[in-house]
Amino acid sequence: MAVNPDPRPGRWLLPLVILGMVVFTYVFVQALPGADAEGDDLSSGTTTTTTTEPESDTSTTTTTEAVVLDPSVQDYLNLVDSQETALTGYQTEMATINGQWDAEERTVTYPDTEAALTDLAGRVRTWAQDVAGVVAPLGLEGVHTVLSAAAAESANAADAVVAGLQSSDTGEARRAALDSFDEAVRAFTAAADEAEFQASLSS
Amino acid sequence: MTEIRALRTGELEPFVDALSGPFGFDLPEDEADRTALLERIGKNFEPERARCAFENGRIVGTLGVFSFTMTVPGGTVPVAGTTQVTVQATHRRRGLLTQMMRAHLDEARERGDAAAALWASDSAIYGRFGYGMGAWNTEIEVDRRHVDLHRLAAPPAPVELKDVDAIRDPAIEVYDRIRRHVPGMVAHSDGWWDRIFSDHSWSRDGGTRARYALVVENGTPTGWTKYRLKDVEGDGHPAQDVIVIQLYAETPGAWSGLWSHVMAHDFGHTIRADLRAIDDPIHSLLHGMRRAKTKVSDGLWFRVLDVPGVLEARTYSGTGAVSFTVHDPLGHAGGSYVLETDGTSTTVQTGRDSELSLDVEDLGALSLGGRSAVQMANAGRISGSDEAVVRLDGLFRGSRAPWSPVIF
Repeated sequence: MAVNPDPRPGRWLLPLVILGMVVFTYVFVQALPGADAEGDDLSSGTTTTTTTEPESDTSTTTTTEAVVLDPSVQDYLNLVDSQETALTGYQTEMATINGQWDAEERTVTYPDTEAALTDLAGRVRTWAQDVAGVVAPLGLEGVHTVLSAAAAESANAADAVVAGLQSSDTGEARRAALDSFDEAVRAFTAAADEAEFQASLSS
Repeated sequence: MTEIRALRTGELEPFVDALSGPFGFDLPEDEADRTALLERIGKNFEPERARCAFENGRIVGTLGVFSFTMTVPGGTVPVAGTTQVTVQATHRRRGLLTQMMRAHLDEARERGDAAAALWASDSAIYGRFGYGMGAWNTEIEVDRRHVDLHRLAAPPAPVELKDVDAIRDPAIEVYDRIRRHVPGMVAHSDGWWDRIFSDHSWSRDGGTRARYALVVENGTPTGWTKYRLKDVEGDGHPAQDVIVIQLYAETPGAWSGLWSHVMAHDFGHTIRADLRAIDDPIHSLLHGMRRAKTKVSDGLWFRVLDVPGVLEARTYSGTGAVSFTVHDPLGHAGGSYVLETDGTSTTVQTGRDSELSLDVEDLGALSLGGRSAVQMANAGRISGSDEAVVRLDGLFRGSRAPWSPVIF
């Protein structure tokens, strides 16, 4: 039987193969995309709407962002929200009183209606003064001017509803004032939305 | 603390539950019905793209997304379909909507969407987030007594009634050809088609089950409709409204045939069709165009995220150049641009001096080719010389009115 005169090179063959496998495994694992990248791949593609497994684990694509508004800004927005809630309450009250007055079978008297509308208009006026007296946070002064203008318009319109009731026409002035009041409420809500938007933009 | 994030495993039901408050519906108490509803919503749902507000683990704001390919004049763009946007009444005025919209638009932009689009529950909400009203929606109402066709209208092509299984493939074939030419229309997945062809008893609003009619011309399907009948009060005789849910046609004969078909029911009283394009041919098909009463409102809102991505993907009416500055409070599309086009090939580069200035909301509205830059300038929303406004208007106007026939 032939004898290898120098077996030493062959002894290194197996260790070299194992070392090669280890290096290959390391390089291969390093080359794999991370969990985030994998998630991106899953959600890529411009026409795919078919996430057919809504319960599948999507935590790899989750992003988290803290929502933090400056406390003074949040206090201001809370105040605006409460003022808006008060105004929509006045709007409901306004509609109810006028609805009762306009009903085909009227069940309310003129003095009661005039007193109710006068009382309501007084409360709207006080409310509008409160709105105007609020000091808005830095950067929101402009939009608060719009809010104050809408509040003042609401008060003016509420006064005009009383004047319309007291006028000698057949309800035209009062109905026009009611439309103005509703329009002022819409303007206040739109300005409140804008205030929230501007506040959250700068946060 | 409140956080904005995508949905995780098992959060579909809490998401739908959170929607139910602001949208005013209840999840079914019956387990099977509840499961069926969740499966239906889940079919097209993309939880990894949702951006919801959580407070102490509870969902207090929702925003979902559908991934679409949407047609613009002469091309298509990847679009994030914004949907299911709500904030719980207990969490108003905290900036949650802005935070969710920001996270959503950031994600869409990073993902490569050129734009976002939505149907708005209120037309006053989304302009400030850069969405412009790009496609009008029209509701059409035709009195059955006045349905004679115009003397110049195409002869109606023959119509065949089909069941839902038989109409699905040809209907998809027709739709897919049409949507490639109509700005605002999107490619639908199988899940969306399941939804379009669904006909749950609770969705019929007192009407019959859905009927389907197909037009085939020279061996090729060229139009189809889905509709139902609904009893209404008549003058002592049977009377029904014909509720047209979907109606698509590719040829004059198919338009004429399908509209004639839905107007031809013996007990038909009024034909009502919502989600119609503003250029629906019904007005030219009828002998008296006023007989199709039309109510127009906002339909599809379009938000540009990538100005070159959207404007280079579309074609223009003519050749020329125009420069404009876009104001975008959220940052995605802001800047000054120069657009040069030979009608089919277009380059959009950043520039310095602009002839025109407009908000990203109005750029979105113009991008689908159906809105008037002159009208916007007259309202003070686009500033610049009259000549430049007219040039912008002429280039951007498309020959097909944008249309979004499926609310998402």
